[in-house]
Amino acid sequence: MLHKILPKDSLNRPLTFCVTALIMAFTLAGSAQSPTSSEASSGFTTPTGCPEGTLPPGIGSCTSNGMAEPPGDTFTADQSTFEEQETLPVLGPVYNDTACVNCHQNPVTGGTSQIAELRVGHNDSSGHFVSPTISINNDQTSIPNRSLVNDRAVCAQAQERVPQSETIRTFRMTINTLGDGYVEAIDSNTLAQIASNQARQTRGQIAGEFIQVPVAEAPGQVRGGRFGWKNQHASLLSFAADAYLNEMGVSSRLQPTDTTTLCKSTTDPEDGPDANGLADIDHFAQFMRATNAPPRDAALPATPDAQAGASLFNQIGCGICHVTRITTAPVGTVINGGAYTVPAALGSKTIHPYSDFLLHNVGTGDGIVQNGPADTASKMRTAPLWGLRTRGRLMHDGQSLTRNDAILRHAGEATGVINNYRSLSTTQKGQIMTFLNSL
Amino acid sequence: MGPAGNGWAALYSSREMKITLLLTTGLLVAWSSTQAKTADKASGEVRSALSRVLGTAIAPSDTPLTGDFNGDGSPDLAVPIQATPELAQQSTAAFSNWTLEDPDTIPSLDPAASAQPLPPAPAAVHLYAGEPLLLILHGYGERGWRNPQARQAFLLAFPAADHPPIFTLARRARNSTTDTLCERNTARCLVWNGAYYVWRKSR
Repeated sequence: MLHKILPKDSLNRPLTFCVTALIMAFTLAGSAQSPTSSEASSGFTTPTGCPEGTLPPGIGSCTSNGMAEPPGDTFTADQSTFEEQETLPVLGPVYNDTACVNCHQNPVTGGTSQIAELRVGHNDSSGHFVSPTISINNDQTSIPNRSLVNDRAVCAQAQERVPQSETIRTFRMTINTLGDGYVEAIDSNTLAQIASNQARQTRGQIAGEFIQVPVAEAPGQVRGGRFGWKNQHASLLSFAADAYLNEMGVSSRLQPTDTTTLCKSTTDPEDGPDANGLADIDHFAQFMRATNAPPRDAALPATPDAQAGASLFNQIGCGICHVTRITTAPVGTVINGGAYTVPAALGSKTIHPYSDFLLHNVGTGDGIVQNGPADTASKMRTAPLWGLRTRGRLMHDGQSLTRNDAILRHAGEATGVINNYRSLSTTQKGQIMTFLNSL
Repeated sequence: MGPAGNGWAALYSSREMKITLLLTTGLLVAWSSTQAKTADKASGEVRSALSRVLGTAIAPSDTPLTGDFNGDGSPDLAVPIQATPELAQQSTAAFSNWTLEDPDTIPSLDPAASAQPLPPAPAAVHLYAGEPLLLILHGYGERGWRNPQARQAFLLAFPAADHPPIFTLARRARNSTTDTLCERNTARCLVWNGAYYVWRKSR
């Protein structure tokens, strides 16, 4: 049984806090499976275009996780909206791509891709991160306080370019959204407990940071962040609205102001409700909530090497952060600052994300601060490893090209664990690789 | 101040002075351990660090340099070495314990370009015995590269160079938390990009 340390799902009081300061009177973290929980459904079941008829081998049929849809809505309609190509006049003025699916597509709609976005900034004289103000239109216009630099614009005058002054520059790889409904349904207390247990188990060497971030659809409310490389979002609706504005340049009721008015002919907000009362951001969120979790490979998990690798993975400590098993909150739990209730399809489900959804300093922090406190400049969210076999470019910036390079790149809090890895034999390391390739 | 006494002995014996001296000593040790400087290439600590990281006995081929090259607040070590046959053989293993890179093949973000290049394509680097290398060992904690836990290492090869590059420590820029290794008699320096060491023009 979980001991609740936060009222309901999250707190309204402090915007951020470090979990390591919390009282450590917990039982085991949410990695334990509740007696009443069941396995979450998994599968790559959102082939792009959701084709009718025969699909190639290895591609599941077009199905959701069974989540109930709002009146008049269907999962197919949600996926179609996720795949819809935006065009003028709502597209932009600055943007990165024209549809969610253009980045979240591998191996099926909602997945990941090789596409990265660009973030920049600089530190002030006190060493604190400052988001840039980027001049466009020959310095006649500026886009203030925004670390994201869009790679495209609907007119040449609006094109953003990185100022020389912004010495912190980093790529951020597209992240997977499949199974994110289950992640949203994790009680914030569960994440806080994992963080606390890490600190206790490792005597402080590993201590995930839990931050609370605003929930856009519940003004004044905050919740444990879990989405984005900096855990900058706690709800999928907030995330969808943010991405719609910042990746495609489409404003909505939750992000009602476009990034710039240069070359803009529409009136904000651009995303309005359809005949069923649902805006595009509602369809996006509904789609992500209804996707299945990324599945394991069909054959590899049963092999002796993958099973030995799975044991080694936990023995050497990888599983301290890449948490093997988490159970979602019970059906009916009110989350997202009161704006959402965990439905039957997502409640009390056991998932295997291989992440703690916490921020850690493993030596790869990109220097950028978003919704968290200043110390999060040196931290990134633990990358969920489910679906890892579908990725070729690894870590937040895609710079690590082999599994071994990505592992060796971990430092900071992960130093002890990675030194355990270094001590393994070549055969044992190979078994870990087989296990990773089964995810 | 504690009870009055006669001379330095009494002064030193006072509790407050002991604390002051301890603090001062601690600060000096902390200061000296984080400052960029050279190290003795015959140093047992350097040889021990190399052996710990490479798993084979190897001697520095030039003066080691120390500083915080990755900006994590922990002192790092940069040592010119020559690849031994054992090291060359290790580099072909499936899962080496260090990262081999050629800084010439790793692009940096161009701040003037609106369209940024994708991360680098896989570029296999091949080591041969006798090849000049620069080993950079990242420190861990206050003891930095001397810490037995410090084992994250990068082996930098320079196959395109006519001569082995000779590195010096650049003066740390104001407000910077990072030390930089610059190639002598050229305008380029090695900087940490979060994953690799890459070349950047010195300012």
